[in-house]
Amino acid sequence: MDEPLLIRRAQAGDLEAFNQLVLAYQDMLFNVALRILGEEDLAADATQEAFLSAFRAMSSFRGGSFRAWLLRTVTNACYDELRRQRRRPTTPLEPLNDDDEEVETPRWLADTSAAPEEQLERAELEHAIMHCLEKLSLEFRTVVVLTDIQGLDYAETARAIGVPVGTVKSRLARARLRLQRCLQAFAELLPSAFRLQEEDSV
Amino acid sequence: MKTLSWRDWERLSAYLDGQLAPRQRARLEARLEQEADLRQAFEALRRTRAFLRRLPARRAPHHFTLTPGQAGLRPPLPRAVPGLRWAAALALLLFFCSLTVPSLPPLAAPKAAATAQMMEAASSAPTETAVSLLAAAPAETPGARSLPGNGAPSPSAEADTVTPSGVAESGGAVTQPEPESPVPPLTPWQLTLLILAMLALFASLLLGWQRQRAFRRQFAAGRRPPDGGGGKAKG
Repeated sequence: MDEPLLIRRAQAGDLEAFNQLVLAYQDMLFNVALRILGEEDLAADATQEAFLSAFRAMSSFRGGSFRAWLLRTVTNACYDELRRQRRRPTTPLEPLNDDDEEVETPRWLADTSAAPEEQLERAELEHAIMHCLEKLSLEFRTVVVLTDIQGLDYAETARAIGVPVGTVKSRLARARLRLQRCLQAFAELLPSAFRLQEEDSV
Repeated sequence: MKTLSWRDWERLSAYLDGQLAPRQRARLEARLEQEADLRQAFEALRRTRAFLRRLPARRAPHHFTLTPGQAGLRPPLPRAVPGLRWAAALALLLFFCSLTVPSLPPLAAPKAAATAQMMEAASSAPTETAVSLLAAAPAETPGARSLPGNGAPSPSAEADTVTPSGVAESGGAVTQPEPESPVPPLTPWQLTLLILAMLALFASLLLGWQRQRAFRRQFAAGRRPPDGGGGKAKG
């Protein structure tokens, strides 16, 4: 894929060129939206909205990291989506039981090709991470999603959310500290899922 | 971790990502070797980041390619067509005026010139003129679009240059109209040209409409996204 050429064509209004860029980046944008919003339907809406506004604003792209530029459109779309949600509150992400405790839902038990035990552990881990991410404030969550989950460097993350690099550094450190505390609680409850992780991280 | 300051935590976080300046990095590495608490905190931080990196990536539930409708793209009209209609209509109007105006007494002067122009055109190649009218009308060229601009002044412009003597020279076998006659009858040539002009107008409108329809059809068929929009993600 000749990305600069596709970008130039898309800037000239070529929808087919733009759609090739969409195909290349849709998984990434969807994942960012999913981890920020926590729900697939909302994430899909935000992703679609992001690509639409990206197409309309293509002429404002002035070079640099196209990925970071696109990620900015999706984070903005997520913020808009959350604002809409706040205006129109719906059921909480996690259904609660009578004691106001979260009930495990099959949504987290995503189907994968791994063995059942491993699947369960992965699902538990994903559940734990998503739960802890949701507890973070939006700006902390966004920085963690872009840097730790998507693997962007500080400069790209800064560009994607429109803040200085120093802010990214500081927000990320705070977010990691909160996540660490939150995840530790899960690690005690679900040692197997977290043991797998520890082996990997060595 | 109890002795760890916020500043140290931030440094550890940046160090983990390789974002510390060389001097700061060297200083922190020296401290990491000596301080067990700092080392422990760093390990915990590293594990946390590793957890986050294990979060599985999901595939997009469907393609997010945009259709022309979503992108707000309407099939643009072939740009020349609307202008062309006006051009043709204006040309016809001017042509008609050039035939009828001489019959009005106060405008007797241009009458001779306009009639002379008609006569000149008619006598040289009447069919050719008509054909060129037909051909030029639906063309998408700037020339065609500027037809009203160029066409409008031509009768009066030529009126300045074409003198009765010139008419006499070019008129040839065709009957010379009398400048003083109050209401000259339409000559067969004039009538033919009038009919041809109307035909030209009709043809240009018809062609323009057909072009527009074909363009819309082509646009609708040819501008679909590669995977047809909302298809399921492969795999």
